Amino acid sequence: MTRRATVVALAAVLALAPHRTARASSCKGALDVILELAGDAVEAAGEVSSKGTPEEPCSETSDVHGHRRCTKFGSWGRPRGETPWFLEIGGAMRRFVSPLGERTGSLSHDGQQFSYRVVGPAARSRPVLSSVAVVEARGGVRLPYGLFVAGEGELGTLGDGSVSPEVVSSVGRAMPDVRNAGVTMISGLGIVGWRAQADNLSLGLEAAAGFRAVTYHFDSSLRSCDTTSSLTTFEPVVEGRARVAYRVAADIALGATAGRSALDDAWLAGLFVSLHDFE
Amino acid sequence: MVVRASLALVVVTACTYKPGSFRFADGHVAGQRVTVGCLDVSVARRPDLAGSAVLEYQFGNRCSRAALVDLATAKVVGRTARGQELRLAPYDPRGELTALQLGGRSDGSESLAYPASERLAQVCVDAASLAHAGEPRWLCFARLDNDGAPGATELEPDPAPAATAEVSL
Repeated sequence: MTRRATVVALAAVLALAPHRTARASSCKGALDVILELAGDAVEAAGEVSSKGTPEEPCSETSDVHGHRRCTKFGSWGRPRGETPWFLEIGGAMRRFVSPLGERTGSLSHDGQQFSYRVVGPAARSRPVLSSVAVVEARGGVRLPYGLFVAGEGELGTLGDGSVSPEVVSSVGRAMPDVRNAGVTMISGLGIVGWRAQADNLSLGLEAAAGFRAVTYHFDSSLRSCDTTSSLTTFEPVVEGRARVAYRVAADIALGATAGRSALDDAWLAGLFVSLHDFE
Repeated sequence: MVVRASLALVVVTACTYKPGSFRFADGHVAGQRVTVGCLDVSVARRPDLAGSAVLEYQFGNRCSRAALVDLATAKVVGRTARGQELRLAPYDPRGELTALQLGGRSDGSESLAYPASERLAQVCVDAASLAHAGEPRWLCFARLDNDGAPGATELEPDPAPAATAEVSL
């Protein structure tokens, strides 16, 4: 499922690249095959969903501008003054201290309220770092002098950030069985950076700041009644990153990033695919 | 398995324009080549279409940053068999032509028709004007017959450039 989602996501980004129907590629490689397949799939899905049946393909009788029907002028370029935006998706591994300290939650079974207590890693005298695999997406705008601004979102699941809940209140002898049901993370970041570009290679430095929300999910069972509960923590994120990217096609680049938190020992490392990252 | 192999190929393949190669996405066209600013430009004349001279432009960006390609205002001049010189404008019925930015290490191509009141024995284009570069770089082309061969030289009184040539106007 994860592999399929990754391939679909990659295909979606590649499909966003300008569709150059007016010409064939000079290096007919795997990238073009993926582009064509992704583009065809998106077009086919759009046609089928909007009209129920696929449209007749447009056929050209001339490739001369003004005489051709299917391709508009300038599929190879972009207008002057157009905002130089870029998009990116990727995956990363983060290591940070799971922010849950000592917290108390409540849950309900058949109208009866119960309390439970958890002691997270942050409450320990020597907190350990937890790992989280995240999927990240960002969009931004290039500015003069190599500067850029971007917004980034991340979604992930902690691999080892689980905590064990303990029920602290009961009704008579009734005592629900509360279990850890996973930890999810979502974050939103604003980014300011600078990048230098030479040929097909770019190097960049950036500062990111925002928030991270980590939600700890719990399942609870009491006799035939099952319910869920969760605790969410928020914490600020401030980190510096370095990036390197290599342009593999006119509008597509592959890259890697690594960064470290300015607030604690957290760090990240990841890979990404970008669209329009280069000028 | 196929997807995995394809993704692996993506990592090692860079499908960008190589400066000076004049190898464009549309494949090779036997045009005249010239470099103006960041652009490698190849221009070829094709057989006339509906009474218009047709020029096929291919261009590659040598630079890693975007470069201007202005086909809308590029200077194109035609000469009739009688030696009359005409300033030509591209056929653009929907008003789409405009200057565009060609991405770094990208390439593109366009074929434009240039209507004229009479058949043109020779068409010349200032390739430098495509890139708004300084010194004019005139490329001239004789008329082609429908089989793609150069047409009979009909220039009067100066029939010199029967074949394609770069000249100064």
